[in-house]
Amino acid sequence: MRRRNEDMNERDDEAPFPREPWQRLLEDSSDAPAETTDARIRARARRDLAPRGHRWWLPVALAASFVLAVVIVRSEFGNGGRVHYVSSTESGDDAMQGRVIERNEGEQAREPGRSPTATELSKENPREEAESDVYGYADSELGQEDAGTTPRVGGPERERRSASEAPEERMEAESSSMRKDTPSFAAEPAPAAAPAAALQKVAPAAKGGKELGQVTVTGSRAQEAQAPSSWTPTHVAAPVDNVQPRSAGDVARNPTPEAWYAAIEKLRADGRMQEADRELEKLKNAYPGWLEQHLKEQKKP
Amino acid sequence: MGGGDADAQLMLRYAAGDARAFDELYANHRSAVWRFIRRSVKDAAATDDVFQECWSRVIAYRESYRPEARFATWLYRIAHNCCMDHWRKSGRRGQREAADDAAIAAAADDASAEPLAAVLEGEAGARLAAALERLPEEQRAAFLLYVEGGLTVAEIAETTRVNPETAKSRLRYAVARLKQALADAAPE
Repeated sequence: MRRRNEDMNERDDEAPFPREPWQRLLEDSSDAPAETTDARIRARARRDLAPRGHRWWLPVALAASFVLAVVIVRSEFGNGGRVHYVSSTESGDDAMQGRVIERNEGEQAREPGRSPTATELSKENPREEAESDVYGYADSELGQEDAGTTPRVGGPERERRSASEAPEERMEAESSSMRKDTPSFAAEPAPAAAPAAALQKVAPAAKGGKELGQVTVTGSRAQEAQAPSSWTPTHVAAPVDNVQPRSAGDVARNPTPEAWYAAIEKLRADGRMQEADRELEKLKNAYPGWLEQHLKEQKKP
Repeated sequence: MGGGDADAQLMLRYAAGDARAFDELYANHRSAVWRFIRRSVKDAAATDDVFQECWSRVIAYRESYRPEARFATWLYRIAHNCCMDHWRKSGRRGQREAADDAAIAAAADDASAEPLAAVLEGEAGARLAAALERLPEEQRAAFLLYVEGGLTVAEIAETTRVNPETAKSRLRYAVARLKQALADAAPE
């Protein structure tokens, strides 16, 4: 302490008064920190010097949290870029209430009236184009003609809507109002029910077509999950469990099961048995029970 | 202060991971820092808390220490800040005593006055401690930083965030008051 004071006094040229006498007095009259305090401070000093490796759990916990967050985000939003909209206003009493109408973006590229935005989107997503035919509709004559148009429904729902003046425009307006941030799709009105005779005309084009736009109606999330990831649903209504998926082309061309069945019969007559079988299966799915009832009615005199 | 550089080196060694350097550093300064805090806080129960807080900050800030200033300056700045925090918490900040500034100034200018003449023996230390407690906080802090911390006037000014003239004035007034208090208590 003495040496320290001498050093200080030497260095401090402007010392107002000597320190030492005052310091001696203060030292004599003062107590000192307790030994427990000393021990606590020294222990703290050593504890803080502990290598950071002792805190190995900290970076591990951070990394685990990050991975977990990524997994959650991917599971929530990484669903193939699909966006779901739910509209409770679409729920109705008929069997077709609650449906998932999904649209393949790739179909937009095939449509002459599609928007430029849709074209760009299609170019940017070649994978989606490649996956757009996972249901094998490219080989089918059916489902090509009007695929990819505005979301639409089939069966009784479609019949009910066809009574109105412009159901497709209404649907499109409804859809576009819900997807302001999504690329604008062509608002091409869906052709009315295609006659069965037109199937033959569209067949060549259908075989060459790769991009198949579809409007799929489904009533369960499980069925929705089975859809290819490239599909982008634009409209999801209240879910109904018993609704079967169907292609928009089938419904549009065959407004009634009778017309559809007639088309199938014509395919059989032309010797295209595989296609006829496929269409028959679709018909069964679209109108459960109708075929059996129809056959019974035919058997009746 | 030759020890200042040594203390700075000890602090650097401690920051690098040498725990024994801290022990040496602590041994060098523990008593003086304790007295500084004890006299500043004037509360025996709070002294221990403030003292531990002071050294905890030294430990926590070890990596930010730069030997550009003396270690004592850095240490007593931390101690002074801890005392300020304590004053703020306890609401005792701003206590000032009315004083006859003229008389104090006269005593401060009396270079012939020997401050220890009246307190050579007996309970001089206790009287000085009592006189210190009656000092305004700014003057007491300046005095303790000068005597206990060994800080220069410029360092006291930097630590207490005032200009050097103010620091020097506080010192002079503090010494004058202490001389007066000791002289009054001294036997005739």
